[in-house]
Amino acid sequence: MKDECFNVAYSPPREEGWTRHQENVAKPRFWERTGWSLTRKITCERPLRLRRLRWASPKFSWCRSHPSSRGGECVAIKNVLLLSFALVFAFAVTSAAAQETKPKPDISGFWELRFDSKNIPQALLNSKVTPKDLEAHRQKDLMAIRWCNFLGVPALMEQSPVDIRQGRIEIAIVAQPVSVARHIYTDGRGHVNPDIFDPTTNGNSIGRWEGDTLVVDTIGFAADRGITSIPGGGYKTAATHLTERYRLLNGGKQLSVTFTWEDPNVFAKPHTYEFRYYRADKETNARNWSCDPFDEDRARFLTQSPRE
Amino acid sequence: MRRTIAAILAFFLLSGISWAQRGRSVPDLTGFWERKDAAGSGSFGGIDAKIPKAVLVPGVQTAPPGGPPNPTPAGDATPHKPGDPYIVTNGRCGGGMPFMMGHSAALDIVQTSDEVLIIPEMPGTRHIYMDGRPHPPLNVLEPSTVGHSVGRWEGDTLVVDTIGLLAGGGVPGGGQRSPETHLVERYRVLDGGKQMSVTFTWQDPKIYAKPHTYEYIYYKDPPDTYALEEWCDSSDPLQKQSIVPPEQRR
Repeated sequence: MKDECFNVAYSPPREEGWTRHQENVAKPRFWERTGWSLTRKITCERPLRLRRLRWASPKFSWCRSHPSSRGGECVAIKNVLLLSFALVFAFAVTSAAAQETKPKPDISGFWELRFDSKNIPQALLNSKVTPKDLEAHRQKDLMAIRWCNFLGVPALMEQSPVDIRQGRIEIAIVAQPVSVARHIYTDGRGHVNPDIFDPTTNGNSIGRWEGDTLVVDTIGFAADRGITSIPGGGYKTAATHLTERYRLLNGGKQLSVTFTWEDPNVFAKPHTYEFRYYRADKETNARNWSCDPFDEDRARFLTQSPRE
Repeated sequence: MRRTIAAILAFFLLSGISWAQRGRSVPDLTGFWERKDAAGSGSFGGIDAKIPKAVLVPGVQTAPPGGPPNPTPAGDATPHKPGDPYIVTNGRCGGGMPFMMGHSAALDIVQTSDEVLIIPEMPGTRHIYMDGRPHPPLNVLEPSTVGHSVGRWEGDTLVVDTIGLLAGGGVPGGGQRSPETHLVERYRVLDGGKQMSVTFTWQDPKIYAKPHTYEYIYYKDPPDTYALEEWCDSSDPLQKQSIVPPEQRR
């Protein structure tokens, strides 16, 4: 009887080394392969075949017909099966719902730069960019600091720590010095029409997830505001396009951000560098750096050569 | 049949529990919010006039209402009369508290379980820590324009406690603030999420004879709203501005 029981259709998992073609050939008994004894108990050595269940019938066919089955056992079995179905169905429904909001990596937290956080190669600039252009931007950046102007991207991303908060429709990045927070919209919207967008120091950023990587696309930089120089060389213009890729590393202890700058007016080829931020202590409190543009001593310090 | 009914009930019970756990959440304040005066006030002064006057401890000077945190020289406590010019900005940029909460530009709220950010279109983002941490001791807390804020949910209300603000005026209703001053805000979503009420209560036994409370109503902006940047450059002479209050029409 036991051998007959196991000669019915059964598809063992492939990892057991069996295929469907071997279904009806001799194979070890089910409990010898799996250690399960449930089949013996509930089906009287008959394998469980769900298609035999007749839900409209007052009793399942195999309970009624099998001579060795007992009424009380069948009732208990039915209860177990019904509850199991309910559990599986409920789990499936809630799992499907959970899939709709498949969790993405959470990059929220305070992130700090350390001495080994930056890998910045020299940018290959367009031949039209002259040393005079670069010096003009350097001087302009100095004045932006002196007058407490908004830093903007990319200088904002060079601050430490930065507070990144991943919300429902956007990811915000906040630095401590004088600067407006970055808004990275992740709700699927496109860029604001450049015809109506008033360029800003941070530009207009939209983000999307590619697997575990957050890809951020930014345009709309104000060429004449804030710090415009780019690490490694070059500077922002109205035509600049920045692509950032955010990835958690080392179990979430680090955050890699690669910055790729493209601007045919400035770069001969896309300029890429990487920062690796370290996750700061969870209890970190943001500080709000004050900046007084009318502090004459500060102004002298920033604009005059140091005295020996 | 009874078993079938029991199974169906078990399914709904389990599903319900699961959904309840997934859906057990606090109100979502996410989005852009604009403070508006639906009834109309006619002027900035008119808006301020709707705020209850702060009852101050005897000897504490009433500060001029509204404006940025550093708009006027210390001691300028006289009411601004029509025709009398007064400084609205001394060239310094930035907003901070409580000016930013009354500003006409939209505030962007980014809400996570550990922290809520309130982002203005100028520097001075507020960090409201929701992870249960306390305020740092005042002797180590460096006062700032936004102070140090911790929040908790009381039912559907977000309660935010802030200390560590820079000393000065600018409190609507004519109040003052110091690093020791507690500002308690209560955020509630109204009208199915279209509006948000924020009540502000200033408490400081050295300044206020009794807690000073007022309310702002914010309106939710469309979901595709994006942030602007309120550019400000202190090197621009025009940044130093005065204003002459006009005669008010009643």
